[in-house]
This record gives sequence, structure tokens and C-alpha cells, in this order.
Amino acid sequence: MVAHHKNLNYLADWLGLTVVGELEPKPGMEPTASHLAGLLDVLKATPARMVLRAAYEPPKASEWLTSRASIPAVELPYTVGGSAGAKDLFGLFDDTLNRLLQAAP
Amino acid sequence: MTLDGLQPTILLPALVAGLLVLATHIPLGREVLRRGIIFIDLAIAQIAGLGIVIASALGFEVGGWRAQVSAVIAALTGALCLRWMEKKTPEHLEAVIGVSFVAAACAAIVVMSHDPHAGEHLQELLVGQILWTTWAGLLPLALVTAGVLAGWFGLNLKASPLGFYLLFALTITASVQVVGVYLVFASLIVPALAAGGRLIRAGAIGSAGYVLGLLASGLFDLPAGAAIVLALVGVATLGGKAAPKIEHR
Repeated sequence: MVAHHKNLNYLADWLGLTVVGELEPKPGMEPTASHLAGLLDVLKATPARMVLRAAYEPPKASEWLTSRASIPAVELPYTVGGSAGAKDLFGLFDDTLNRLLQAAP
Repeated sequence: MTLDGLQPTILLPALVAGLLVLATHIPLGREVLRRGIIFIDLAIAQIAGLGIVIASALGFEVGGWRAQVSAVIAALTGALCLRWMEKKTPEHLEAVIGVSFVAAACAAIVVMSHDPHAGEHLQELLVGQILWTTWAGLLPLALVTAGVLAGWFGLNLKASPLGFYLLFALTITASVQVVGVYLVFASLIVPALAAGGRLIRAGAIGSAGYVLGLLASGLFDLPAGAAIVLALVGVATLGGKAAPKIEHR
């Protein structure tokens, strides 16, 4: 899958997911056109099943990739309080797993 | 330098977004320069951002129509207040604009401190996201551009100060969400300033800036929005002459 920024490595490691690329390499700084071109090339070789972002990250980048690569965009709570379902640590994990499973049954 | 970085599917929507922005910002920018209220776009953009932050804090989905309405209402209110200040104390107008900018930014910070989602949106406004433009996403901007140009030239709203402020607020609210506040400022001021108020020449300078900036982003791995701003300044410096045709009050 593609991440908005490289902050999901622990999650990916735990679940056995592979992060093939990221949308915004430097947090808060817009990407370069060549980085996005490279990302699209990588996706042609190793397609991703979804694009993930933390709740605090803006949706526009994920929407761009969704319209281009036809893969679902998933917003993960990332911390307790990041979503209505993530009220405590258990809720955080449950909500995260639910969202991932919904996007890739 | 790499040619692989140039992909039309990425660069073309961004370029069209830039041209749409230039279409409204050059005539409006000429008026801004004439009135001597250079930083009004920063203030209005920040006020529109405040509108979005408030909408998010109220629980509305950012990107949804309620947030957009909130941004437009905020921007129009801000513009009307500035128009009123222009009538009351014209000599202090630029100072009031500066104060509005800072006040709106800090009001947004205060509102954001209680909403985990809202912070990212304000940062988005500043940093700019021109490369995230999709063809479908250009439609709202195209409609606003057409509407504003129709009002500006067709209905001759540029003749009335109120018309100017209202159209300005609408345009800035739309464009700042597509290209970010630095590009809005640069598109508004740089081509009109360099071309001495001549529209066609300003259009050429602006378009060249956007094309070169996007090419530079693809070829030299540079952040797109920032590269375009620098390209605009570069093209304007080389190709423009600030002819004394802009009358100041």
C-alpha cells in the first residue's frame, strides 16, 4: 500500500503489509513533480491495494492517488482520539483493523 | 536532471489550474496594485482559512459543501469589513489589512487548539497543493473563474469598490485551496506588477512562470508551488518592465 507519509512502519511491520511508496516524503512540504512521477511508475510495477493516511493528515493527496490509481483511500485514527471509534487503546486497534478490512475484504 | 520526472498526467492538470488562477488574478491584481492594498490577499486567504477551520470545529466535513460555504461567508464578511474600513479610514487601510491577517491567523489557531483535524487544513493553505489537482477537481475552480470574469468584465463590477471586494473574496477563497497562499499572492501581484498593468503581457509572464516552474519541479526535483513562485519572479524580472502606467491614488 501507499502511505501519505512514512509514519506507519510499525503498523505495516505488525500486519505484514508492504509500503511501496509515500505521497509526501517531507511532512508538511509539498512533493515535487518528479517524486510523484516516480511514485506512479513504482505503482505500475508493484500495484498497491490502498492508500493510507493518519487522521491528522490532509485528504487531498490521497484523493489524487485514488482518482489516478483507482485504489481506495483509508484514513486511520493513528492515536487515541483520532476517530470516534478510537476512544481508548483497544478502540484504536479495533477501529484501525476495521477500516483496513473494510477497504480490502 | 531527469526527464522521467516530467509526466503530463501530473503536470497538465496543475498547469490548467494555474492558468485558471491567472485568468482572474491578473485583472484583480492590477486593481489591487492600483489601490495600493497589496496584502489584502493574504488577509482574505487567512480569513477564508478561518472559515474552514470553524466549519471543521463545528463538525462539518472539510471538503464538503458546508465548509466551502463557511469559507466563502468568512471571506465575504472580511471583504465587506475591509471595504467599510476603506471608507472610514483610508489612510490606515493597509495597517488594518495587516492586523486582519494576523488576527485571523491567531483566531484559527485558537479554534484549532480544540480540534485535532483542523490544523492540517490551515497548513495546506500556506504550503500549497497544486500537484494534487485532478481534472474533476478543476471544475469548481473553472466555474468560479468563469463567474468572476463574467462579473468583472461583463457586468463591469470592477467599476464599483464593493464589486471588487466581493469578487475578490470569492476568487481568493477558491484559488487558495487549489494553489496555496504564496502562489495566490505571486499570481496576483507579480505578473501585473511586471507588465505595468498591461493584461496580455501579464498573462504571458504569468503563463511562462507556471510552465517553467512546473518543468523545474519535474526536472530538478523541486517542490512545485515554491518553484512556480520563483519562476514567476524570475520571468517577471527578466521580461517585464514596471512601466509607470499604474496610477496610484
